[in-house]
Amino acid sequence: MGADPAAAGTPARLAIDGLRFRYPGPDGFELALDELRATAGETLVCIGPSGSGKTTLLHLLAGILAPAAGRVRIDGDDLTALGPAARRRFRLQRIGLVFQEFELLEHLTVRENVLLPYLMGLGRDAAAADRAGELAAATGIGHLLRRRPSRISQGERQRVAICRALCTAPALVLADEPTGNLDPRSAGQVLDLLLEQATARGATVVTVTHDHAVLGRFDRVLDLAQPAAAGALR
Amino acid sequence: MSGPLLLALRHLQHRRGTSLLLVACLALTGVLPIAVQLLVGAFSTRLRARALATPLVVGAPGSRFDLVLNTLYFRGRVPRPLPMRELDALIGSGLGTPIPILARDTAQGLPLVGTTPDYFAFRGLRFAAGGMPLAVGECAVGAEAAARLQLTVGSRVISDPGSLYAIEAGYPLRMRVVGVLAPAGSVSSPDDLAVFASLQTVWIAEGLGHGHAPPAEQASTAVLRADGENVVLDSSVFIYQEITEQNAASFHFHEDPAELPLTGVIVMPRDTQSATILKGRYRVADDAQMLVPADVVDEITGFVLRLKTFFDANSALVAVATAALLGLVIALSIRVRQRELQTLERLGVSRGAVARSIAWEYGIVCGLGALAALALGLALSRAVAVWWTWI
Ligand SMILES: Nc1ncnc2c1ncn2[C@@H]1O[C@H](COP(=O)(O)OP(=O)(O)O)[C@@H](O)[C@H]1O
Ligand SMILES: [Mg+2]
Repeated sequence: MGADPAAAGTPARLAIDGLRFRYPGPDGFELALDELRATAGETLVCIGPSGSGKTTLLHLLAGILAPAAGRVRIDGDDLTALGPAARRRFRLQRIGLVFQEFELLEHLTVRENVLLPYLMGLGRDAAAADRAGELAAATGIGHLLRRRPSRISQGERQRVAICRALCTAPALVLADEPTGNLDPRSAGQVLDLLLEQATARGATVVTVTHDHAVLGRFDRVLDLAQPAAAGALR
Repeated sequence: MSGPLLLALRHLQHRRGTSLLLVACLALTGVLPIAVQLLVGAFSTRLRARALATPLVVGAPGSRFDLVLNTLYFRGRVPRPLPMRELDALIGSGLGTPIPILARDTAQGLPLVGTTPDYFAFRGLRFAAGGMPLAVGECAVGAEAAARLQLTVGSRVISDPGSLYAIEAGYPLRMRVVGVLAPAGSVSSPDDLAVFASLQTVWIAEGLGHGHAPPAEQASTAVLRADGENVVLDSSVFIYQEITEQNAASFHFHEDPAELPLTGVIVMPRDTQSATILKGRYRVADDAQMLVPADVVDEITGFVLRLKTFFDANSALVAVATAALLGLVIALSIRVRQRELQTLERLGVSRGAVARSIAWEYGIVCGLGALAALALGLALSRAVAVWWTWI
């Protein structure tokens, strides 16, 4: 971080340097991102045509994929220096993920889905349970906590997923087309809730979207279709 | 409760039908081997315990299995009769205490055993009520026999007619219960389910001895029923004879007393040397045989155990097949749950936690299946053991 003059005073929440990734195979897709900085509470939106590498980038930021070269640091901790198990642990503790298909567990109640990171690794935590309750109330699903995901609406499901992502009070929230499966009205509400709740808790948000109408709600736009975009975005 | 366990339980609950089906399949696979294991165990230990407690058995030449099963357990095919003179000879030898057994008839469906009072002492049988059947026409019943036929001291038991050996018997014999035995042990024994009487009583029941008195008056009138012009015999009521103080003196045996039949004799040798002498004598005799019941029972259980080896091999194959199928089911279900597992992975859940959850899930299924198999196997073996209550 000392090598980063731009962030000498406030360390960047998210710092990407010289990131290179390539899927295996002779014509595997290649992704390159030289530099990106984001501060705490900042919201970024990543756009680009289908197949331009948006999901791949999010997976690199989450440590789901490991780059061939370059670094991804979150609050100064180098994610790319960690092994697979440690990256998982890091992700569970410090990164919140929201998916297009919600990815809730059908056999768990809404409440158990929200607390899933605690159930499956972080252990019992009274503060987390309180936070889950607050988040549920704030996102308007407080009355659904005992239901199964199959018995709530699409919009409500994504609110549950947002609660799950924010419950651990993560530094970074990554959302891959979180409103892609919602009707426009619901999509707007859900996106507002995500940004509002995440920034209120000081989390940096990187969202992927197809919907150019919502770009105005973000602090910055990263367009993967323009090779120079990354640099320009800094 | 740990999170992986909670997830496992939730998933089992979510897929109730499948979970129950798996548990049922495992239970059904396990129930028979478990039941057979328990039964064969109980069978051989009970059979052996009684055989070990019976030092020597003498009987007519013929199947050693029939002789031992009849003399010890009052079951199986009836051995050829052994004349009373053999008992007299044993008594005369002074080499041991012989206890005669005549067990080839039944009374109300239960074995009717003619013996002497020595038998009760020999088997360590105690009377819960009353005492030994000493007089002609008396009997004592085992604990289970008493319960089954609802007998107490003073009740009557009727010997079954139509017995192959009741050659001359016109009518079955109605016997007076003078004693009810306490249960012979914690596990049911042949003594619990038998009717004991003196040899004379059983010979009379067989028609070898008889009195010149007509069947009891009240009995013959009870069975006659006027049906229009005909007088018919009501088959639901037996005609029987009963030995009373008045007619007891009139009962007698036409046969030579030395030729009256026994089915076997239990012999308690005085000491090891006497046993050796007795065995030597019977080895050369051709009108009688002497057996060591423990040896014969070992032979019988040996057959059973050899048969069981095949069954065990089959069980092992079934277990392997079941394990393979279970593995396949688990593999398929994990594939079906790929998306859920991918979500957990993406959220950052460790592989260990995921594996623990899946292990819990199938551990619970296998555990419940095993428990159900054990419970059903136990119930089945109990049911069959009650049915085979004589073992
Ligand atoms: N697991 C993978 N293995 C190989 N190639 C992949 C894989 N996932 C995605 N790709 C390829 O990488 C490119 C970018 O994919 P992706 O990041 O999913 O794009 P986007 O999310 O912008 O639609 C696509 O050309 C896609 O075919
Ligand atoms: Mg994508």
